[in-house]
Amino acid sequence: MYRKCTVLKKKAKTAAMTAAALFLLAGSASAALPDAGEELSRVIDTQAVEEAAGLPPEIDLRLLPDLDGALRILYGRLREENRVMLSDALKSAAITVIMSFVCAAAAALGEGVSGPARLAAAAVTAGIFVSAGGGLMAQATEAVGKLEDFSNVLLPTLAAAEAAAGLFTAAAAKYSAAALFFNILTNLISRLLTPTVFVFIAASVGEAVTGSRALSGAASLIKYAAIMTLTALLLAFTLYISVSGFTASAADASAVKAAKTAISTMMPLAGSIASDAASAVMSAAAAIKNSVGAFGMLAVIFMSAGPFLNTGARYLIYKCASALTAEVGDGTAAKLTGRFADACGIMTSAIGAAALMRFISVFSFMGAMTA
Amino acid sequence: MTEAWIKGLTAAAVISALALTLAPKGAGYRTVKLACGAMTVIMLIMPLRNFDIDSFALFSAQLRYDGERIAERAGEDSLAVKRIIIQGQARAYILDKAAELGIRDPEAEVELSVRDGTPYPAAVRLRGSADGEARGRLARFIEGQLGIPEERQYWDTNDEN
Repeated sequence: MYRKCTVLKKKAKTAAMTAAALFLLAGSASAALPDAGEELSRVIDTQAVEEAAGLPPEIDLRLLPDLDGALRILYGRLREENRVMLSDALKSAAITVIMSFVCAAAAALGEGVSGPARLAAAAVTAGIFVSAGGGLMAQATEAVGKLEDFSNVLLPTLAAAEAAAGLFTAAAAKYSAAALFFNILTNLISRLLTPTVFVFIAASVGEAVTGSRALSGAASLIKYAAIMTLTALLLAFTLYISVSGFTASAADASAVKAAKTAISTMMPLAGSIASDAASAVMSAAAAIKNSVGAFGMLAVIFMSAGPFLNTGARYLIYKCASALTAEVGDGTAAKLTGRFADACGIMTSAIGAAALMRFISVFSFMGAMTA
Repeated sequence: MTEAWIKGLTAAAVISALALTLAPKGAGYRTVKLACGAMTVIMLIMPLRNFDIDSFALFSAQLRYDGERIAERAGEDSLAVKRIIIQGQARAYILDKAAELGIRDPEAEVELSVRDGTPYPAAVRLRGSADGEARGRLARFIEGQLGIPEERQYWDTNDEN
């Protein structure tokens, strides 16, 4: 027992002496050590991400995290952009409420006036919302297109930073999964969802004019299908990127282990240098990945917040107007307003899903660290 | 394609509305309602008919290839950065030791090899004015600490001895 302790003490002493010697040696040579962050930022192109983000010049990738400043700028921009939009939405809702009361008054005058008044209410409400709807769809589609263009620059940079940190398989797997799903979602929104919302509006107007239950059912089915498709795609993406990232990380772990074994067979100083270099590159890559990721998320917020709040606020305003007028007259204008609120809700969900997918992918890149 | 789909969907909705208006109440109405519902769903999922699975598979494979290329290039870049760091640091240690041993105007160029993705010092080219003892001590230091055997330590002959 005593012998064992002596051996252990000797081993500890030798290890401490070696560590001290290495520390002294490292101290003496540290002035000549090249900066891993500087060297790595020369090969990983963060400039392209900054250019593609189109953020105000005050928000600098290297100065992050100045989240307060960035959010102040965002707030100022949104207040400016959405003021006119909100006033338009409130005006539309006010006209709907007035139309409902006019209908109710007409119905009180007699049976003969009630029918034409209902048609007039439906026509006026539809006119207001259809004219606003085109702009809303265009804004939403443009926002999703911008997000797709930005992702085409952001994803390769994040994948390169992750691969530089030693997670080659995970970087490739996450890149291909994210790029594939982003493409599917963008195509789905621009080619199918936007036209479907127009059909939904048309069916809703038809339902209001004719009172057809079939059109009502068709409109409900379209809304349900749109929301379910977005939800399913988002869930599939989250599951796919998590599983592929997890599986690939396990493959990368064996490569890291092999590198560690190789280092352990080297002479003490050579092993220490190689280990320091690997750690320095890994830390620099992680720093680049995190700053690019945080910057990318800010850019996604800047690109999607305006259209998201625009359609979201309209959804709430129209839903309120619909609830206010539900008990006034025969409810034609209220029902139609509710349908337009649903249309805005579908577009809000589409923009939200597009932004959320970007967040999830950035998080999956930022969360991964090598052992 | 989208235009045809919208027209089809709208037509299905209008036909459904008309059919349900004209359908007699009772079992007939329920049958018409079922048929109209089926027609609307079929029209809704019609774009899936044009889905080209081969193009999709090709696109997916292309993205996988792109991802692998990005990772491969980044791996090469990070290896290059590691090489710069290791070369720089190994050279600094050698020069520090050479100065300590009294070697004048020392210069060292470290060459690296790669094992399991990790670069390590494999050879060194040395210059400087040194006597035999200093050279020998430096050679032992390099071999003992950096693992470069004496036969791969090359001295350029500008020394005094």
